[in-house]
Amino acid sequence: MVFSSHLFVYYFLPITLAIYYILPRRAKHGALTLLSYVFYGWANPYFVLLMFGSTVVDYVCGLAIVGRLGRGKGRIRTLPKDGARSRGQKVALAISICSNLSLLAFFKYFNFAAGNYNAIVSALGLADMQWEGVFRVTLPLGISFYTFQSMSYSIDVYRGDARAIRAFPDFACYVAMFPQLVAGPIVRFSEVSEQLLRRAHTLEKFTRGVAFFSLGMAKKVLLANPCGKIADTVFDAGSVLAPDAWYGAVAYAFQIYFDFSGYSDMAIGLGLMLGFTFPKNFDSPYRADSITDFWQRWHISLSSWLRDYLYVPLGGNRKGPRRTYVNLAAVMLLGGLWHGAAWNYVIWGGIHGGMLALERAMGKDSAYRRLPRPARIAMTFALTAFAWVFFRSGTLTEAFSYLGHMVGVGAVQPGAALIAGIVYRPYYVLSMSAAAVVVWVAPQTWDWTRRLSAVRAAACLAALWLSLIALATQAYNPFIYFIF
Amino acid sequence: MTRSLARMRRDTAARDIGRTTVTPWVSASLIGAFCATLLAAGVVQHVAEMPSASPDGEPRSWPQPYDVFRLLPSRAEIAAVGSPRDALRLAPSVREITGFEDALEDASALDGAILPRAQQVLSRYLGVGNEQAYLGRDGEMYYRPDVDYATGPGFLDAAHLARRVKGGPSWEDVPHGDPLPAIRSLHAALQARGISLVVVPVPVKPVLQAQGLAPFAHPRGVAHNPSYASFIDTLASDGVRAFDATAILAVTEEAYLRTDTHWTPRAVERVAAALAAYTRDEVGLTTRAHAGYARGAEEIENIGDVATMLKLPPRPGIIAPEPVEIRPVATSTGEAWAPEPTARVLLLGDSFANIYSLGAMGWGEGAGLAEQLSHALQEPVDRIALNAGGAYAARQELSRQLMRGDDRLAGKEVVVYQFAVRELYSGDWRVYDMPAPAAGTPGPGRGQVMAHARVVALSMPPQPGTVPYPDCVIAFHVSDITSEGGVTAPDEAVVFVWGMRDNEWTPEASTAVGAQLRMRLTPWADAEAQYGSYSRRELDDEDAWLLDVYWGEILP
Repeated sequence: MVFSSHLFVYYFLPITLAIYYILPRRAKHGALTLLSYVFYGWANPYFVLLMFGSTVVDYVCGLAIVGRLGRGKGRIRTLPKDGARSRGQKVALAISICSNLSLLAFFKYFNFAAGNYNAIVSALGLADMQWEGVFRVTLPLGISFYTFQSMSYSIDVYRGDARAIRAFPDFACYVAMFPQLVAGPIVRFSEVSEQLLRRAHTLEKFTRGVAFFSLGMAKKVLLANPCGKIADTVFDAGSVLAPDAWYGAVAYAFQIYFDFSGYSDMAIGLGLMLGFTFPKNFDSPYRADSITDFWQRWHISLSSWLRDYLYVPLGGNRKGPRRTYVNLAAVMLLGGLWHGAAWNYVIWGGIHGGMLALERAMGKDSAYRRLPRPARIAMTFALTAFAWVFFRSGTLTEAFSYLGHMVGVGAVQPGAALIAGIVYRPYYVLSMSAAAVVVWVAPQTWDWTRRLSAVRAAACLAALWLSLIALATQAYNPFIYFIF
Repeated sequence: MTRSLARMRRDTAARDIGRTTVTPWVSASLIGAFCATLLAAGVVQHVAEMPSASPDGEPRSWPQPYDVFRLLPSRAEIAAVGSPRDALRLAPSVREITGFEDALEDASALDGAILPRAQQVLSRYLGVGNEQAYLGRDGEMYYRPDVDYATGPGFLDAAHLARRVKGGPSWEDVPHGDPLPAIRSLHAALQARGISLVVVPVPVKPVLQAQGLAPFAHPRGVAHNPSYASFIDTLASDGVRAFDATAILAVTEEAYLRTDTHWTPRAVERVAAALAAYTRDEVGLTTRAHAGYARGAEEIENIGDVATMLKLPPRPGIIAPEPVEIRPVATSTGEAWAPEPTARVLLLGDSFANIYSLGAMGWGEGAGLAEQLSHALQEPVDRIALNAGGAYAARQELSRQLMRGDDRLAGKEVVVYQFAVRELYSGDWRVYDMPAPAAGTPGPGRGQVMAHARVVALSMPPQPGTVPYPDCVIAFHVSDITSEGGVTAPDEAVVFVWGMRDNEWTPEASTAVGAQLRMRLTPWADAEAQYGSYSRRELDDEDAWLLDVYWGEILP
């Protein structure tokens, strides 16, 4: 189910809020879990079984790690942070991590591995060894997000950063919670463990949630979707003129930002309506003046997850410059692969990883750092938009072909002239302009909604209504991050 | 250090939310308005649907959103569960879930009220159409799949073909993207019977009138898909004749309608005349005695299918109707032209053949491509032309008739296969057998039958507004037929019924599998002339094609 859909806004959400607030406190998490399963199962009911299975495994492992498996009573304590762990605790953690990674590996990377294997044996002249009859695996929605969340539970409990949960509905609610289930932000267990036990439901929270949800919806429907239409038109064309190629690349950069940050805002807003507070996921990323800065502002929940659960365990920057560069590149390559099982994503991750390493190598006194900040922001944005081409293109060949068109290389078909007749209509130019203003000038949702005056509340409502009106004219338009 | 960063993010968020400043009045107002907004669609739907009726004619007891409960298994289905696998099967399919959500949006009274007005603002002030319709200059409109053909990658490119296989809903058959196998197969089948095939890909508007959409496009440019030349060359090397209408249309003034996907009557006549000359000169169709076909003249005005797809408010003056002059063809005795099953030429076509012939398209009758070809040849022409599905629908119908023993190719010397070039890019080029004449199942007798029957399968119409045709015929596979009045009827049959009229699903489209219906059945042979050219969704099960076919009307 998509937040920006008729079904969600007019039926699922009011019913969910009504049930949630009518039920007594003890029943809230159970109801929220069941409703989240409906939300998730809407894409494919069988995927719910998969998520439920994963939830059970991590729940059991969590109890095993704290030694409370099969012991009904007694307070569960947080493990000592730097204390020794028994073999049983290590095995329980390994089971949790392996089961989650196995799920991810099978459902997300099986087709990729099979395709690469086929390509390799074919290149070696062993075409008869191809896996022709092998089944194709359907990617369950949001599996990358909930497996990372689930893993964070076992790891946090094992490290002593959070207490294990005894009540299964509470844990199932954490894993399945529909606001951030399919496209993040990745909420770590330690970030909500206390809230699962107790949290306040206040008018201020709910009001701020409405504001977040309304502005997120506006970002998605009024900005991301029109920019996406431009990007789709240009990227799906056989060939395009150079100015159109740049326009399309910038449009995609805007689309993915507003699509994802809009979703995050809606998720945070829905969380607030249900009493949860989720951390910030975006911090005006296109105002970054370096790629290092960019990754402190873009999809913060993923970048910090990778940092805490991958980069730091690999040694981080504690093992010398060379190892630091290798760690940065490895983390970003895996981050690229996390987004999608294709070489495009690996290259996208490689570009970012390479830039992170380069910036670290250049140090803080480099010539680049002495450039005026607006110039650094412009260069960072150009590099980011360039890298997004790999992210958006269907294949590597298409990505390189598109980059060729951006610099005027490659034949252009006669129909390419038609592109301009579509993407420069006033509506799209206006949408792109509005997107640019919001990206570089407007305040962030977090800051702007902190003080909700009557005018701002009215503006939020107007944004919501305008979005719903626009939504009625738009075809099905899912969020980009649904496929990750 | 890292743990403290994570905790800091959490604490920062909590602190920030805790600092929210809002007065109780603003808070209550915003929450109240938000809740009212969330409830708006449901309330409006309940009010709007009070007087509506269900497919079987009975007043609906519950508004459409309650159809969600139809996704749940029935008591009988639950009681029949005997194994975990059975239990898993109780879950609704993705197709059923998607179908419900689509129907919910389509039936939404709130969206129905908002959409036309919002679209009018978008179109008038912001110059933008919708997912299917692009607005050009000076009132010109373009159909998105037509533009995609011109701007997209080569339709024969391996990457494009692979992407088409991956795209589309999981429950739909994988489309056959490559047109060459289907055309080669048709050519071989016809050649085996000594019949010549002439393929006629008709260029769509963006190919020849790019300037109407993009001011900087070359005024005389031809924007065919990059694979088009290769496609024509490959057909030639395979011995398949292709009549390329591009050059004729390029020099025809106003070759396309302004607000429609199709060509003008003038363009039809010019292409028909050139095609007739081609079949004589290149294919070798011998000249016969002049049949005496004559043309009249008639003024028609209508709003095009692309404009209709915009779903603008139904008020006069929003879009001006476009006037055209058609020249309907009549026989030497003054009767309206009709397809002749014994003709030497069979035209397989799509809506480009039907426009100016199928009255329901709104552009008059008697002046379509078959009529004008007949006039140019001065001999009768047979025709199988269906709106939509130009890549397969006409071939599918021919194949179906041949499989049932109805030899539509008997006496044919030339088959003209016309389709819009957009089909090359986005059509489904299924390969169909064209079996040699054999004794098939005898067709149903003539005359109407009143019967009771049970629906065992049905096809679904497209989502309204997603196709350029407002009407669509769907197919029911029915069994347990019991006729009234002692009239003989088969046990099983295929029954075509209206699935969509004027861009709205009919009650028949919501018929459930297993429904018992009372119907008036008309043998298809008697109904084909009236309903055979409408866009049609066939049953997935090709075995059903061998059954008797009827036109059906559901009775209370």
